[in-house]
Amino acid sequence: MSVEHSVATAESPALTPKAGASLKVHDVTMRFSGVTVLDSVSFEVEPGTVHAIIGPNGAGKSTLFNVLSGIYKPSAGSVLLNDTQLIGLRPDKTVRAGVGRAFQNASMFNSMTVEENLLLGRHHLTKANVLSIGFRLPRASREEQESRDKIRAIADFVGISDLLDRDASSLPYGEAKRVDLTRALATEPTLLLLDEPAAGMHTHEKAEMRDLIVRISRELGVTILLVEHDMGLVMGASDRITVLNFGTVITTDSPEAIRNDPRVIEAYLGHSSARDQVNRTDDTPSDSSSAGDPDHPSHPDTTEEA
Amino acid sequence: MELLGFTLNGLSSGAIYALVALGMVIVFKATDVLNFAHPSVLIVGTYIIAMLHTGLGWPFWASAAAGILASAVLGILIERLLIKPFSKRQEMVAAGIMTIGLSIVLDTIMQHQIGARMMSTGDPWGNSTVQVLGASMSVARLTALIVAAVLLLAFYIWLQRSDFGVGMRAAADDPETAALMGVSLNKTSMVAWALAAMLATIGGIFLVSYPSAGLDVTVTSVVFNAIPAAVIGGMDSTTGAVVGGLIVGLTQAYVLGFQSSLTFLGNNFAPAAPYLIMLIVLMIRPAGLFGTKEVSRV
Repeated sequence: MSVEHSVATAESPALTPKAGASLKVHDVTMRFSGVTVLDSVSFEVEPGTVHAIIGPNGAGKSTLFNVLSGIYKPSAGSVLLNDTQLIGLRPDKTVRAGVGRAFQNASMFNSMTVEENLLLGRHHLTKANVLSIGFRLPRASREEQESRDKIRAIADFVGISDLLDRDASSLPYGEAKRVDLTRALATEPTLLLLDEPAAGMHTHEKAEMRDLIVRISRELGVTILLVEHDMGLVMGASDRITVLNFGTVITTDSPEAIRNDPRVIEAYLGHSSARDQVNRTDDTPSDSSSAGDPDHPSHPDTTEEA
Repeated sequence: MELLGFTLNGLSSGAIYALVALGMVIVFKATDVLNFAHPSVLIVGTYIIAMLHTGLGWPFWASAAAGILASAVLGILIERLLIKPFSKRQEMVAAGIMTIGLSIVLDTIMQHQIGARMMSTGDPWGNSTVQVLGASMSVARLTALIVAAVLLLAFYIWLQRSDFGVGMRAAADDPETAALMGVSLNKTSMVAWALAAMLATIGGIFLVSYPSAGLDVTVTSVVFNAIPAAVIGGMDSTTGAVVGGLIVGLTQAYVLGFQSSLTFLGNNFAPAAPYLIMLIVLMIRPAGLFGTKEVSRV
């Protein structure tokens, strides 16, 4: 890791740390035809830190990401990236404002090479217009060269330079996820949204992903907002954690505090142990069937409480 | 020799259809709209050129440039004013049906403007012909073949190599992800409509050149050949537009050329032939020869 780091910074001065943005989510409420998916959600992310959002499926994590990247316009609330109001911006404008996003399913453009996918991340940074690029005017080709250099530097940093010429469609899942993250970095974000970066990865790949997230935060200074189900990764990488359940914020705290918060254990972390308890004391088929429903994982807990 | 002549004519008119069909494909890829008003846009653009030439006495190149630019503006206006309200609600099939209405409105206006006239764009090729491999060919059609080949190649390189082209392909593949990469879907959509309209008008210039007599109200039916061309190739394939255009051009040239041996089809079968091919292709490959998505499923 340290070797890779020194190579990246020595050979690519272009890849200099920049100030990550602060994020202030205030009273964001999102309703879909009467159903409240986010209910007055508020939390703050300090510049340059890794902040995780955890919670059971259906807690509103994906909806929150879609609000932050301009896909959904919330019914109420405010989202400030430094001093920029993100609510009301189209998705491509949120990218210009500094929000980079990596996707849960990697979302590679399969008809393109890895390098083209990464160049796409820099689409909004190139100033040449529709025509000049096509006819390869000097300015356009200089800009293109700069873009390619920058992409190589970022690919070196992530450790995927050997994949640049591959067709995106040929990538195994784990590598597609890393290319997706690199593409999000290529947009030069001040806030990076990572949607389940380790989903479907092996233990070894998960550890690499955790190290990569920490390095992006420490060495590039980018603020990272992370949604992830793997608790090892969340606890290992995050500075702060916000717990969501049924669209409301239960708490925002340090990993240690979260680990020991009884409300969190009840809503999320303790779900499986609570279910075990239920199964031990009262092993009815209805409990196990509702426990298996991923959309309502906290039901067994609440029924037990009642 | 006869066959070679038919083939050359078929290829050259096919190249024009390919330019027009490419416009339909670009629009379909960028905005998911099956634009039935595309042939009408061609007529409007060509009419502007002919009007500037015959009415105001502009030289051909000036009126051609003005007409091509004016059609780009028309394309952008259609996209902004008529298509945008549909794309906001993701009603792209309805938008396609709206373009049928738009096409009727534009055609009616054009019929009124052109009237009984036969208008000329004042193109420099006149009615001169050249011998190509022993077969006679109009200079206008030969130029059409060359211009179309150059434009199609330039477009292909632009789409593959340029930053904007990559953005355009991404927007066609997966609009949501493309937008989250900073690609402005607004801009992509406007550029697509403008580009399509310009290609149509360039095709229009050649379509009304010799051996065609000029721009009159009957040209509409010829322009409509671009629709089977785009459908045969596959609505979302730029390669398909070129192949579809050539298939339509060649089919018509052969049916017309060998009409005397194909008497069981009657004397006016040539205009219907592309649609027959379209039916057969669609029955075997519902997405068209090179297409990936069926129009009905969009």
